[in-house]
Amino acid sequence: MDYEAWFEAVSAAIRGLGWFMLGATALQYLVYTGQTVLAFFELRRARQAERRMPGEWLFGAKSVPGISLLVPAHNEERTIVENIQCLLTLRYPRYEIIVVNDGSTDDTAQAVIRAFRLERIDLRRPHTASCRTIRGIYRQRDYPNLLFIDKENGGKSDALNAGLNYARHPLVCGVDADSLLDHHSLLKAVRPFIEQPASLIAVGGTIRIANGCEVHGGMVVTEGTPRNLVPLFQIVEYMRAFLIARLAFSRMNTVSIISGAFGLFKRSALLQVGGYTHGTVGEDMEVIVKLHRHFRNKQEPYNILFVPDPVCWTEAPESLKILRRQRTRWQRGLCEVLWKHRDMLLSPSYGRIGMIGLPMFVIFDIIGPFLDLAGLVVIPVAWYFDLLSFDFMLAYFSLVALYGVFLSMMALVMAELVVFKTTRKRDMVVLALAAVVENFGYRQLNFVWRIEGIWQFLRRKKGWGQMTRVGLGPRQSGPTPTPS
Amino acid sequence: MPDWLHVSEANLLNLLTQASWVLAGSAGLVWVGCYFVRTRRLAQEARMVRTEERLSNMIMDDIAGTKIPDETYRQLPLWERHILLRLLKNLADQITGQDQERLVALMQRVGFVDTARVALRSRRAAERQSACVVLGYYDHPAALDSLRGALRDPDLAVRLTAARALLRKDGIESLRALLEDLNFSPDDPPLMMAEIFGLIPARLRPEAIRMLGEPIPDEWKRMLAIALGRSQVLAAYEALVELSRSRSDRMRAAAWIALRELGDPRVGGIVKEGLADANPSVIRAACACAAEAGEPAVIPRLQALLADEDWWVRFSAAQALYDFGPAGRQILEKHATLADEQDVGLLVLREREMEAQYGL
Repeated sequence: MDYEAWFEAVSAAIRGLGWFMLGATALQYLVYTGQTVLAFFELRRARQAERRMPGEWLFGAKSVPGISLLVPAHNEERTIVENIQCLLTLRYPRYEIIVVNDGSTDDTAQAVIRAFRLERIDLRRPHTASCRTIRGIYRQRDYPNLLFIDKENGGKSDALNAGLNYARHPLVCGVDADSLLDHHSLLKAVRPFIEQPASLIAVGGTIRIANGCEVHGGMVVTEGTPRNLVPLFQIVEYMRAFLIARLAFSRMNTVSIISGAFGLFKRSALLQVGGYTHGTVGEDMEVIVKLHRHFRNKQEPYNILFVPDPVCWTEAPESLKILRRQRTRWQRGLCEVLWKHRDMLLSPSYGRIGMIGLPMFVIFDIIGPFLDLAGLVVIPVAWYFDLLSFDFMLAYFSLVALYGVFLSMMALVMAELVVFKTTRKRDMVVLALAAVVENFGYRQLNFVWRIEGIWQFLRRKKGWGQMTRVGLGPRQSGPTPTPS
Repeated sequence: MPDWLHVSEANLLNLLTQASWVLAGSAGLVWVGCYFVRTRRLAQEARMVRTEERLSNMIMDDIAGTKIPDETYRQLPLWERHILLRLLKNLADQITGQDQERLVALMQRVGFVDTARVALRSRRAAERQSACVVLGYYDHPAALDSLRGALRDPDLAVRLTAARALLRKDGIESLRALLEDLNFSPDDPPLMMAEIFGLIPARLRPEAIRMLGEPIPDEWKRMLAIALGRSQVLAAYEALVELSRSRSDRMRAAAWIALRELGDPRVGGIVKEGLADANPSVIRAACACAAEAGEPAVIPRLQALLADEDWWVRFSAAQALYDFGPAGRQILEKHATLADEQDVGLLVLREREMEAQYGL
């Protein structure tokens, strides 16, 4: 083959690749548009449900199901007491708090025991969900709805399983020890369980970022936006993820992830699948996929929902270094879950979750980052060598950047219209600016981290890594490591 | 550019670029609209807070004895009168005794019945609710008519507030009027309806019992049955037993729930009928009733139900056996095997041990 023919073949291949990337990106955004429409309808349905059954009515009702809050804690000595005190004041008629000390190396256990004057008790339960050795169980008559479990270190899943074994109520709610729950979050989250008592097995709620908010006594008293750009971009990102993607999945009955920071489950359903799986960093997604698999195999009717209301506040990483660690870990967790349950992919026997839910993760979260990043490199290079026209490059970059702006803006609009109303004009403007700016650099950085996460998964990297947090409000300072 | 698309490359690329700009631009415009609406609302909220403080102080002064001329209230602009309604609603729920009497007198004197009737047509459900509460304090035919109209409100919370307000009033003709006007919808959660009917005052109970035997809609009967059971109206026993033999599964289940709540010892003699029912929901309700009645003759039947194919029936039977005391617990302990962690007997034993230990 002479040089010209070879050059022609390469040029045609690159042009074809460019068109493929443009087509794939357009298709991807078409799906996102569909998700936005579905999310809007789901949001409307959620509003109607709230009007039918306001939370305050539920508080006065006699028949609401009890909830066991499972709070795994690892090296949280500075914040754990205040967090428990905050959880003790939640507005819900019947609930208990099960704090599980997951082999902390600091003074977490003693801090709780001292603060609540807990006494060691003899309470044995079968370990239906497997967990490491329990070192002691503590209780105090003055706090009948507080149970403290001290156990050997085994990770977050292990701690949740320990709590699950000792849970007394029909519903259990996993809550991160460093997250803050809204006062009415349980009342709002329980509503779907009352409406669909037989089939509903899990409900997820919205997680919001507390950086920039004023926090007192473990409660968010004034909402705000952070000055640091890293958590600011994450606020927009969370809104997009929760108010568009997850609501759309809920509408299609294909919810495959409920955030570990706040999720309400039917205890019997979790016990049926043996609780959370050990040794995975994506335990929150894994348990949901496991529930789908179990109920599909048994051919029992079931439902998993996401509701936009229940708000749990969490602290977002403030630096790119920590954020990178978090995002690569999330991607690793996703890969682990998809690999473990690969037989469910495109399997008609798993219904929508097998045919739509999980394949969408593969396309958008595994293949998508490669495509997006390749497009950002290949198309300008091809234009530089005159293989693609300037109009082509303009169309591609308009699509990538402006569609991102459209999605982020729609998430802000939906949040503003129905879910959380911004209390300060300045915050609205700041968020809108962030929704535009994050599409130029931040989003692309996320693609890189996702690919890095996939690489780590392929290299079988394990563990959570160190997560340094600066703390919410005046009550916290210094680093808080998460379990490793 | 693939040939099969039959569109020129330039046109397609132009279309994509323009569509992206239009999408992003329209999202931006919608956001700007939201921004202006929000800023207006924030300003309104600030103004409302200031007004609420002023009006609240005015009412409290009036109740305390500082005479505020009626004209001051009457000349308030409409939006301030709506705020006043909300305040009156909150205060009426909050204060008691002589102060409440003074507050009601103030409402009657100033003539807020008209404002409340206007507020019933408001687009905001919260305003309609406030109007219902305030109208509940009026002994006036116009107030009664308005409240009966509010029972057909599309919003459940407003309907229930109106029902509560009507039940509070002395002038109501009968419970039948309430039931006829209350607009039931298939979407209404039964729990909420049962809660509101749990408030049926003593003077209306004979009427409620009589209605259980009449051809009224099934939903009404179920709610009335549960409400009467919860209120422990022993006179309703016969009517509830009759209902427990109804053809409808849901009706029978409701009747057994009501009989359990009623706490009449005679139920021990008939609970076997419920335990022999074909419908799992009815059996579950009857299990709870059997435990409450403590009739030992049903223990063998409950034991047999531990092998039922429905998990929830097995669970309810296990709970009932536990509540029977040592005899039932012995059966449960025999049945519970540590090999099967999902065993209902074991689950019940675990839960109850915990409850007993901590007095929960």
